Formats: sequence, C-alpha cells, structure tokens
Amino acid sequence: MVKKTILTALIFSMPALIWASSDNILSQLKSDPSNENLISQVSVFALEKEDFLNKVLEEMASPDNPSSYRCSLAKAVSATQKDIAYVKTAQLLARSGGDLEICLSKAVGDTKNPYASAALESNVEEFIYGSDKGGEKDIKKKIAAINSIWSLGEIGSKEVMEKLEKYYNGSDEVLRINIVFSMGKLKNNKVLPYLRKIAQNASESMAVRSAAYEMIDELEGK
Amino acid sequence: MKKFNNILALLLISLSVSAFSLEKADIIYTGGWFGLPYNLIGDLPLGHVGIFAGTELKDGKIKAVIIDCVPDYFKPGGIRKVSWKHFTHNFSYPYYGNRTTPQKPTQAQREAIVSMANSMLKPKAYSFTHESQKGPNKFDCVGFTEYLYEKVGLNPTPDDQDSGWGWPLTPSEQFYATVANTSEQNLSYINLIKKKDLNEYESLRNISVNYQSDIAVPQSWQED
Repeated sequence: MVKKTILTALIFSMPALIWASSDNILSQLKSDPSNENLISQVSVFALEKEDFLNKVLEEMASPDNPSSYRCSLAKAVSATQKDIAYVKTAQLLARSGGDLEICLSKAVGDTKNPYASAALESNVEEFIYGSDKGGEKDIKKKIAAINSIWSLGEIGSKEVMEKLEKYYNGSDEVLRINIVFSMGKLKNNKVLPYLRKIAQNASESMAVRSAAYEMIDELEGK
Repeated sequence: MKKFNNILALLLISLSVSAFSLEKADIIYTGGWFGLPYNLIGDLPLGHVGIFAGTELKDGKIKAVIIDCVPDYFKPGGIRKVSWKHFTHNFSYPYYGNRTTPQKPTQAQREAIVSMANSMLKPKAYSFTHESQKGPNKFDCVGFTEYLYEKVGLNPTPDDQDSGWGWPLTPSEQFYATVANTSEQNLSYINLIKKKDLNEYESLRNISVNYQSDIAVPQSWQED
C-alpha cells in the first residue's frame, strides 16, 4: 500500500520534475555553453516537449543572451531535426554577425541544416565581393566565410558545386583550400574532373594543388 | 575584345603566380571543437596549430607536409609529419590560414624551423596538462610552434602571454599576435580562366566598387 502511494505520488509529480530539470538545464547551459552533455539534454527535452522547444527558440533568438549560449541552443534544437528548429536557426544565421555568425555558420554544417544554404552563400559572397574584398580587415568575417564554405560542403545541396566553382575563381589561397575540401565532400559527378584540373594546374599554388590531390585520393578510396 | 580578354587573362595569371602563398615554416591553423569561441581558448574558435613544412612529390602527386604535435592517443600521435587529412582531423575542421611573425622569417630561419621540426618527430611528446607547453620535452600544439620560432630568434606571441607553464598561451592569442602571410592582391587568383569567368570577374569587380560607395551595410554584418 505504501509502495503504491509513493509510486502514484511520483507519477503525478513527474511533469513538475521534468519542468524543473528542463528549466534548470538552460541556466546550466548558459553558464557552461560548451558542455556537450548539457547540449544533448536540451535536445532531448526539446524533442519531447513542444513548450520547451518554443522556450529554447525564444532564448536562442534573444540578443540579450551571450552568443556562445545562443549557438549551443541552436545546435541543441537542430539536433531534434525538426523543421521549425532548422528554419529558425537558418533565419538567425542570416541576421547574425560577429561571434554568433562564426559559430552558427559551423553549427548549421554540423547539423546538416537543409535551410541554411542561402545564408551561408550570402556570408561567403559578402566577404569575397564586399568592401573587404576578401582581405582581413575584419578577421571574424573571414572566419565566418571559411566556416560557411565548410558547411556548404557538409550540407551538400544540389547547386553547391556550381557556387563553389564560382567562389574558387574569386578567392584567396586560404579559401581555395577550404573550397577544395568542401568539393571533395560532395556527391556530384563534376567534382573529380574539376579537382583533377586544379591538381594539374601549374598556375595554382602548390598548397592548393596538394589539397586537390589529397581530396582526389579520398574520393578514389586510396 | 577577344585580344583584350586574352591580355587580361595573362595579366591575372601572372599576378596569381607572383602573389604570396603558403610558405615553408608558416604557422597554420584549423577551426576547433564545436566551433565555439570559448573564454578558455580565446576569442576565436581555433582548435589546432602546426607548421607547414613544404610539399613533396609522391607517386607523381604533390603532397603537403605538415609537422604538428597532438595527444599521444592520436594515430599518429605526438610530434608527427602529416598532410591535410590528419592536420584537419579527417577534414572535420576548416583550415583557417597561414601566419607568421610580424618580422618575417628569413629564408634561412624558415629552413632552420622546418629542419628542427623534422628532427623532433617522436610519438609521445604531448603535454596533457599543458604545463610544459613549450617543451623542451613535452609540448602542446601551439607551444610546439612557439618553441620552434623562438629557437631561431623570433617570438610569435609576446612573452607576457606565454607564461611557460600552460594556458593562457592559446592558439587564438598566437593567431592575433602573428600576421597573415598572404598578399592583399590574392583576389586576382583566376586560375581556371575562361571567357565567361572574365566577364563574371568584371561584374564582380563592379559589385566591389559599389559596396565601397553609399550602400547600407547589410544587417548580417552588424555585431549581434
């Protein structure tokens, strides 16, 4: 009888317990945003409870919160693979700058966000063709552009090969090496011939050519 | 018009050949864990640092040679000679570029750095506690590159930032203290040139010029 009572009490108090711990987890993550365990727990709660997911999306969008915390929330909700989470994260990337832009431009690649390609392309194009002209006046813009190239390779949408070819022709050596790495991740029959062309191009730098040879070996399973 | 395009193509190709690129003994960087800018590792999300030791020809292919120091449980571990794949941890982190000291190393210093790095290869050389970041027996990745440069009389990171016993010498601090070894003219790399690309290049140049005038800064450029 006593056992039954305890069990019933526990069952009725479970939702409160879950809420308490899910609330608590956000404040824990805020003070330790790189903690992968906490990110996973937030993700589990967001998957199970729509209210909690909405709360996380609100926290993620709030400019009052630190960038590292907002980015961790983006990774957590994106791991749920829910459309709303992907869309909100892609929208946040499109209007972000500085540290948040750097972090999100990598996070959307890690989570293969299918809605992020346009924002990533915009990052790269603003950097290459914008007032910095691919220079390093603002190193954070360059890092965000590099992360964006990396993520485009991870997401691997249909049109990305064409975009990467275009960027290759207007980029410095650092970006070109990253473009080669990203091309090597694509499942596209244009990749190998293009990489061979880069590898054999005597006008190209040895560093980029070495990257191309290495990606060709990867693709050929050597 | 065709003649003009050909001349422009030749000009651009010659510029690309003369532009700076990755040089022997440059310090090279990758992105880091999770891509987050931690307070602990500094402002930028840098993860790994190594020395570019040049390229070699292997089976008719150009191969990058990179010497870095990683935890002993890596395969290979310790101070090792690798190429892009291992340096970027199986292409899982982006490459963030090549830098060197503001006072650029002479060719002799570059050769000395690479030669010294080559003579130090050994499997167990990583300082897990980061207490002997800069050696002489155990290192971490950033300390290893700092050690090599200091041995030839160059100092990538100011001494008040590398205490010698461990953090706070971070890849991010070294990155900021050094300078990119690239040319501002690198944008002129147009290597797979075609007529179509030339036209596109011209239109892109116009976009650049327009950006310099009174166009409002896009919202995404503003600090969040």
